[in-house]
Amino acid sequence: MQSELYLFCKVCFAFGGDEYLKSKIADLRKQKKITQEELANAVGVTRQTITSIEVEKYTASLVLAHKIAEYFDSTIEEIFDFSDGEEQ
Amino acid sequence: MENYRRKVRNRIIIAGIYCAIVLILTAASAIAGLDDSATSFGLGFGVGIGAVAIFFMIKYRGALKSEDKLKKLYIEEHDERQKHVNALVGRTGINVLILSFALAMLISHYFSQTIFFTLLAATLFTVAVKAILGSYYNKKV
Repeated sequence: MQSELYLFCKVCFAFGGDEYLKSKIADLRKQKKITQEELANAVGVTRQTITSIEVEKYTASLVLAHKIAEYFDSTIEEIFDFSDGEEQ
Repeated sequence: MENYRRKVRNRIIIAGIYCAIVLILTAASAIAGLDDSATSFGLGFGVGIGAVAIFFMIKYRGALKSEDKLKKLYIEEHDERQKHVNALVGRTGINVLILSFALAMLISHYFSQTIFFTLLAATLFTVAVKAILGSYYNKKV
């Protein structure tokens, strides 16, 4: 009953269940010794967006992923982990 | 960024025009001696929105004076996560409205037919808006 209620609320109120990509942004940031704010300013988003991507609450758009990869002189595949999606 | 600067400048002008209109209407109603509750409520509402407009005028003027503040404002308004949040709020909000109207409609039919039909109309209108917007954005995107 509880899971049915959860499913009903999920469909009606569009919450939960979304899967977000894992990323290495936090590690790369620490290596480069830059703050979330600095990275956010460099790629043109708010600090909250970087935080959400790092804690896997939000998946960056293709454009933002490209900007982040460019910032770290890397590729999108190296920064974002697509392995979960490939398994499906 | 120059386009955005122009946009912000236009917003200040529009907010200024709004404040001027509210000021004129307030003065006109005071001169005409209108003090019924509908006029007072309307003017109070207008002045309230005017206060919000002044707040944004001050914020935008500050942003126009500093390149850093303007960039920060631009990022705040164009942040993709914020857009995603807004989309979720819209989607969830309309569903909450439909469900609340439907529930209130079911309860109200025991008490008043007028309220029932009003809520029925509101529910159907909200469902229609959702369907029309869904169809529009399906074609647009």
